[in-house]
Amino acid sequence: MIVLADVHRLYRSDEVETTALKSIELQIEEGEFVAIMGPSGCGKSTLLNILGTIDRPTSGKYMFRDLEVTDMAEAELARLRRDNLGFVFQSFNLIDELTVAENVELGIVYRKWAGKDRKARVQAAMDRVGIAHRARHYPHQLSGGQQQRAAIARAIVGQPSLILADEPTGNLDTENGAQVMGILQSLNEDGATVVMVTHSPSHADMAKRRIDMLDGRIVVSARREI
Amino acid sequence: MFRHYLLTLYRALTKHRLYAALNILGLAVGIAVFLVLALYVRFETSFERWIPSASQVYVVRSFWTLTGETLPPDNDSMGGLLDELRADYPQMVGTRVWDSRITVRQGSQVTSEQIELVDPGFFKVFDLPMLAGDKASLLQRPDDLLVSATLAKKYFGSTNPIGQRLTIQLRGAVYDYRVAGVMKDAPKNSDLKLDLVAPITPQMVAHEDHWTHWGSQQLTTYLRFDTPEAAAVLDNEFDRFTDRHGKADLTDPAHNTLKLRTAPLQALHLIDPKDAVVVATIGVVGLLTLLLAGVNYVNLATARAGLRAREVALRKVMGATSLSLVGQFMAESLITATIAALIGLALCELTLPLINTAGGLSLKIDYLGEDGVLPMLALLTVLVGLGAGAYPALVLSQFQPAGVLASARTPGGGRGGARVREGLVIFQFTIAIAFTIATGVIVSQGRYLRHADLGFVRNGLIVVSNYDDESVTAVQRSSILTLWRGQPGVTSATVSMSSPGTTHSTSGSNFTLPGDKGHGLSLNWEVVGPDFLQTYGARVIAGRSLGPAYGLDEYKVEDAASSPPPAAAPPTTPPPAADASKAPSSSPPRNVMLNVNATRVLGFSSPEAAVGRIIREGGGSDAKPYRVVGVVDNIRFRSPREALQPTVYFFSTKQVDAGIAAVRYGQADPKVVLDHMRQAWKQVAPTTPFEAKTVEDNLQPYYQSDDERGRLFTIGAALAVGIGCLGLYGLASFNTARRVKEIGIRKTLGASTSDILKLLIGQFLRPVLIANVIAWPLAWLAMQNWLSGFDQRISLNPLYFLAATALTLIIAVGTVAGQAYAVARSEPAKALRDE
Repeated sequence: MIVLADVHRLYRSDEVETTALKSIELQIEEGEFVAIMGPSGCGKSTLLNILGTIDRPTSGKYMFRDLEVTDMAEAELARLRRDNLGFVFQSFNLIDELTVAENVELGIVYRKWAGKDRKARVQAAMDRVGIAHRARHYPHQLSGGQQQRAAIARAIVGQPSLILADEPTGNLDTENGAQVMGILQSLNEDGATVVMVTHSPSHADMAKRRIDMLDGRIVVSARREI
Repeated sequence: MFRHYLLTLYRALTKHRLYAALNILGLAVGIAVFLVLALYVRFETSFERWIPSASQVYVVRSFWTLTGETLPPDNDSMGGLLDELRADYPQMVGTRVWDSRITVRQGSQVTSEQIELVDPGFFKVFDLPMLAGDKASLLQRPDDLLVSATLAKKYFGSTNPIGQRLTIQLRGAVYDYRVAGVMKDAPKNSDLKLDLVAPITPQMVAHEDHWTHWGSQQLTTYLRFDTPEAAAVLDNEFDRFTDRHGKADLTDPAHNTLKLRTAPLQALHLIDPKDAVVVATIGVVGLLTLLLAGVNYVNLATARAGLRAREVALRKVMGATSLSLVGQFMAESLITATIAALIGLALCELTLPLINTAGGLSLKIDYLGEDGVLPMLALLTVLVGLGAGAYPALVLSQFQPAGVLASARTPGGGRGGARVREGLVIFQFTIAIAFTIATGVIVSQGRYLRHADLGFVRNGLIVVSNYDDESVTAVQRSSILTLWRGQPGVTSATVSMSSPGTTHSTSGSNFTLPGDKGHGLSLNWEVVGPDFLQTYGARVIAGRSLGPAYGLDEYKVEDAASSPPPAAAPPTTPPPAADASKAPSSSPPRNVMLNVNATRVLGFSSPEAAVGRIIREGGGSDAKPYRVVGVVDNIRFRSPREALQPTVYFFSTKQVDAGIAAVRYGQADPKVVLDHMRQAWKQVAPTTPFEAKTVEDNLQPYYQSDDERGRLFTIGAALAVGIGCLGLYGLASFNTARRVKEIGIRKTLGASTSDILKLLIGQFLRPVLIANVIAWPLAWLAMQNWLSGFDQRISLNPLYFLAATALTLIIAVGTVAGQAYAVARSEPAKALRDE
């Protein structure tokens, strides 16, 4: 599904140049559940952003389902994200001015589906993560766990083939973290490919495969024995 | 502590330079516009204040009602009115001011001037500032002459003018005057023309047939009262006074025909409500522009408040109270407002010369003193500073530290804050759109007037305003006209009682149709000479024009050469045409022409229907019949603001005796034509100055004041729109920056650049569209009211409204689009990472 070949990512400012990723070689198959681990600043989130096409590699090649992503135009990337990807962030990234339902709808609003169709899908996504009872609430009226469930509903409402989760349990307590991990596992079991960045070894153990990173490189990539 | 706050303010301003610049510049421009327009309003409302006694001086105004029709009030009154007032009220303090055109002779130099003839007690009313001469003794001798500083320099150069002599030809007589005093020049904010002042003498009055005739108007009567109540007492008495003294000349009771009332001298300049409305509108533009700038300030400051949320939260954690934070932000606002006020003052000083040139004004800033701007500016700064700072200060001080520090989001005052900002943008754009519509209408009306059909061809025409100068004989006039007619480039020449732009009074009589009962309708009458229509290029709509080929066209056969119609005959004085009726009643009626308006008011179904019909001047058995032989298009010689009068045209081959000459010169150079005309004049009447102008120059005063005010309004309105755009730009910039994260999220979820552009631009189009809905009716009402001040006017075409909407939408989109595009194009990961 995903092939990264010799991917580098450099960040330049006026004074410093930081290498976030170095010579990344990575393949991810359909239906995998991959956990990426490593210390802060090792490049986990950068890797996830590149996988999600919301950042571009400085060099190297990124293939998504045999499509060369690296040189895609902005509009093509937008279409690729819209039709294939779902994102979950550590800080939820819900829009403050929209209700839960409206935030969830944002996941499909750019697909130009009929309103009735959209409503049904939004309802189904909220039901799936158990947030439907908060549909009319604004993000600041929700607990952290509820916000993250709303964010997951938004990520899955378009039934993406790839879900990218950046420390989805990082801002949650144990109970809420476990709930979120349960949802991600369930999505994976239903066929979605999940790539998750996490600091939690226990949550990483719930994935089928674990990638360890250090200083912008992949140092270990191991599949869990099931 | 204060130093710390100052440092924080400095850092906050320099860190967000764009916001700071927009904030301060917007407010500075708003203050500058307000100052300039306030100076203008002060200029317009300060007329005659230069005279120390002005607040106690009143003018007697005349309000005529003729056959049920109320005429516009005027400031002229009967010559003998003051004497009759003094007879009844011996303590009355007053003076007449009687203006006349004169010829001044100084050696071989002959010039034309205006003189004001006054009563010896002139200075008891007008306490004029003098440069030389003792007011107690001035104007006591019949040959005393007062000159303004400018005229003193013009006639005597650096020589001491006191005691110098000037020979003046006035109303056919020659007077030898001795300069007894020099008056300070009147400032620009004065309507009084006091260049030459001399006492009225019994000799001058002896020639005036109508001096004590109620119904005549020769001059202006000024009275001085200690209090407004004293003036009001006279006003209450005036009707009884008029009935007592006017019953011999006016229909009893006389006050039904003529009402006399006093009006304060200082109020005269804006006594016409149309003028007052225009000046008030310009004042409102200034106030609204200031308000707009204040709104901008609030809007940007509240928006910017979010950027300082962490600072507020940390200050609270460190022990700052809400009150101390309010104080801090209010102080910041005051300091910023002070900086803006100083820049505004500097802008005002820098632009005043340009404004003065554009508006034909002489505005200047007085910093201290009675009209000093500094106290007003200080008050303004405090009001703007506190007013504009209050809302942001309160919003900022209410931030909850824990929430702000724990959250990654930038507070912006919440949904309430967003609504307030949207409301303020709507307010700004409502004003901006209304101003844009108004500017479009005002500019179009100005252009329209410049090219509007006046019923005659205004180009290629010269009028000689002193053609009827008493020092030129009838034979000389005839010779001059003949010389002009033969001049190269001249196609025709004529003489008529009035001409475009001249201020001669019009006269009227009541006319009826045979069989009609009642007093009839008041129609203007106009006497024209041969070639009138041809020279003016006026159109005959029906019938024929009057001319020497038809014997019955000539009116006033008996005495036309000896007694020309008075140019300033009182409204109730019958026209000289009445003499035509002295012919035996069996003789056929004389011929006249009507203008189109006259056919309408007389009730003819069409101009053609009027041709051949008889109209009667006056009522009852004394009515004098005239036959209408033609209808001429409406000819407008006066201001486009004045209603076009229904007019009867009489024809006289002897009209050369009294009237204004007009010469049509076709394609020739007007300067060359004027030079030739002057030479011909000098050849025949070498001792009389030649006063001629092109019609366009003569009409200029009718347009000048509206042009100046229009320009001022346009400048104010354009700057107000500019300030609105600055505000929108700042707000768009802030909002876009604040929504970077949201844009990142949306892009992550598949939004394209165009989706984001639609979102960001649409956010600003909504308030702009709402503003249009509010602005349209407001602008429509305001412009309808403004246009109603013009008799000749454009219609309020929807295009003005649509164009203003399109323009504001383009401005709004243009303002927002650049920033929106930059953000919409950025990598979403960067937005999310930055957050």
